[in-house]
Amino acid sequence: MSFAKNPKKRYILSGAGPSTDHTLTTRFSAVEPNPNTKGTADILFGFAQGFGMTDRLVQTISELNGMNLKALQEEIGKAVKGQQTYTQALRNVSFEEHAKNLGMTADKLEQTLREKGVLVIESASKMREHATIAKDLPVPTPSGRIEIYSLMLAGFTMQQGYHPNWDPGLVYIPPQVNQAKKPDEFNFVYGKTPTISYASTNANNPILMALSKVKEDEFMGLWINPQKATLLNIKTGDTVTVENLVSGQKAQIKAFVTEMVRPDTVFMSSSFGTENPLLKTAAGVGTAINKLIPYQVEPIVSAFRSQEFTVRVTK
Amino acid sequence: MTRYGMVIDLRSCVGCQACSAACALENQTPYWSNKWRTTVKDIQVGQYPNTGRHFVPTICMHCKEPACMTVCPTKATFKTDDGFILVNYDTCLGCKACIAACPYGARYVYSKEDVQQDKEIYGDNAQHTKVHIDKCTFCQDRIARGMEPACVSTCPTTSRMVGDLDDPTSAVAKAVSSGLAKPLRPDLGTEPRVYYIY
Repeated sequence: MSFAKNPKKRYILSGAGPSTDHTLTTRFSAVEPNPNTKGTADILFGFAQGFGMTDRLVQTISELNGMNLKALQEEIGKAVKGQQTYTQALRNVSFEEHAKNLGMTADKLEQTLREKGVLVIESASKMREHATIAKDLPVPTPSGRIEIYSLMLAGFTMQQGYHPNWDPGLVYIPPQVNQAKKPDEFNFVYGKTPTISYASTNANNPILMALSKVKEDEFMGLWINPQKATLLNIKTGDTVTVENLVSGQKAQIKAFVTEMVRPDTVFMSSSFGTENPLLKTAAGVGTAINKLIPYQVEPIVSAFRSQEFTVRVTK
Repeated sequence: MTRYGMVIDLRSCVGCQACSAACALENQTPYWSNKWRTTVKDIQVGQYPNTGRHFVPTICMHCKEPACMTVCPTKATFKTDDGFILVNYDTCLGCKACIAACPYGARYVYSKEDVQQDKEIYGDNAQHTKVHIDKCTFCQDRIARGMEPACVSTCPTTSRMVGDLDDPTSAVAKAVSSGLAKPLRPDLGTEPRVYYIY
């Protein structure tokens, strides 16, 4: 993929940050970019090209951004031929479409933004006169009460059929855990330690690891309330086996008996337990949570349902 | 002469130990041997569900009446004109009398192995070339350059403050004179220059 030097314009148009006015702003490059770098759009299109999915990406951008597909294909086509960058292609379409909506030319729009920085299409006070909730109604819904209904989730339902995960009215989905737990069965929660508060690779920092080891029981152990620990004959420092009762995964970890956790719940840190031998300080220290958390992804937001199970703790 | 003091606000300390990490990096303390000039004690109180957790950073108190200095047989432990308690590494025998005398547990041995490890990690920039008793220096070199001690400047919750105890307008002097900040174990008569708000 070629990379046109000296791209004058970067980024597509966007709103004016915290301003509630209806506005357009954009950014113009202040300095020449390093010729060995590429814009995000160019990198992503590079991936798409590698996968043979350029057309699909163009179509997706059109569907997500509402950009005119034909105009997009035309501009991206020029980028494919190396006549411009992909970043420039997206920007051209964005400028053309916004300019058309505003009844001006793209050049005029660019000139305005260069000179004024912000183009106010309509002030917030003007918009309030015609685009906000009527003042004499509690809420302007058919029932007169607040109604929560997601058109986006309704769209999922139309395409994929009904599923509680995308119920347009948003429904409660009970967790997949056994509500009547046995004495050795616990909810599972996890968190960070202050020393390794970001990615667990930070554990390889020798000073942070040394500090973590000062509080090894607390930072690397499985927190268990004394009420249950007594019942299960578990003391701080004992090696216990934790078993995920949904996935069957098992891991061993040292216990940390503490009042700081609920009796029906155990807690551990997600900061330790890497097995990467190149992380010489961190490798093999502590227990990794992915030994216990299955690959279980929530379909709407792609978040791990990382605490939707119970565990059995045995000495 | 500035009479530096420190105030540590336990109400806002979150126990992150950034102070310990910054100090270790600044002063090449032997973290590999679990020896630190400043640590954060983690105290858990109460029973579920009425539980609490207190974080108490500890450090050399730079006492006006330092027990560690009194017992030093070679006068290696000395007080500067500014009132800081320091150790002369050249004359320190490593006899540990000061460690026994310090009621705040602020000292440790920088051992032969630690000196070797320091050299291995920091090479020509190693700060510790002799076996000695090590302790907080209040980051003398940083103070001399108009900077705060590493533990103070790194504290994300500004729980540590440093300033002139004789300057009535300084935050530390105000905290101390108002009685808000108190020394640890005043009954020992050591007259610490590190105070705590709790």
